[in-house]
Amino acid sequence: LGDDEAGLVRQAQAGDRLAFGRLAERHERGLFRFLVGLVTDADAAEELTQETLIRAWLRLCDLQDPEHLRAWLAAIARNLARRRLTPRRRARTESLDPDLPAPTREPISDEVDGLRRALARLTADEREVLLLFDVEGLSHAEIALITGRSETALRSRLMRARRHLKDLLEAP
Amino acid sequence: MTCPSHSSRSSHPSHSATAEGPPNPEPRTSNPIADLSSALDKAASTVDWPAFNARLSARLSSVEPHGRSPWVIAAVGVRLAAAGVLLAAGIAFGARCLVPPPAAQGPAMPIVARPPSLVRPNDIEALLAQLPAGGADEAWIESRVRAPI
Repeated sequence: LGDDEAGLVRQAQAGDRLAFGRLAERHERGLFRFLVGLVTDADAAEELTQETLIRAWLRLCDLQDPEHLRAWLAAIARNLARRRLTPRRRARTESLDPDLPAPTREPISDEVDGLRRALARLTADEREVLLLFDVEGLSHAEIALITGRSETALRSRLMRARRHLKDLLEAP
Repeated sequence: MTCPSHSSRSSHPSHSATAEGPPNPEPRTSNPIADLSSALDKAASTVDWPAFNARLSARLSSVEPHGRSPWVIAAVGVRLAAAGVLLAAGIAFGARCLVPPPAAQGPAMPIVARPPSLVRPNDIEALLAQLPAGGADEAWIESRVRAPI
């Protein structure tokens, strides 16, 4: 982030589609990575990335601080993914079915497929905090804003998520 | 979302614990995380980003950004309404404290029945019957009033 990005945000908020397009190009890969980690399906993640960016464009006026664009986008993506994962608002900590049909794309390798299965066995909360902190590099404070949880709770959840993922990957 | 030059914060100096102030007790480096980040990068590399952007651009051109979210406006409205209700309640309470309502002035005075007349109609008739023929003089009245009828 930087002044340049803040300037782009302000231009986009004034209705400049080109400025928003540049912002989208900056963040789309990160959003996709976050979403594919959450929903463990590349096609769904691609569609959710599109949807996240469309919603961001529609609601850009609601973004008060341009410096928080990345966390704001992640919050939109998270909400969309959650809606997709729990359509009937069931248990928020429910795991995905690890035997879900594989993504329509061919997995890159067995290793990636194994990670996909391990991720699917994590709870939604564990996946979320792991991806936001360890993969996307957001701070505890930003993740607390996104998830509405205290930083203390996030820290313990992060520890659990790492341990859980490690156990799953090491399991025979 | 991430630093463009790399994928995992666990290996990036700018993402170290010291960059965020107090030391973070959690180790940021672990192989599963690096593997995960690498796998997500590989997944991202399968996306046709030019096609993605072309589709996004087409979709963006067909929608107009909204103004301030109606939810934000509604939230402001609710807060204003709540403040109004509180203000009205405060004024009502203050007024009640300053001017006690009629009920607060104590129980209404009981309606006390007038004492029954000491002279009943039958007594008057008896008195009239005793009047001397020439009319009542003062001495007679005195004697009658003091004496029980």
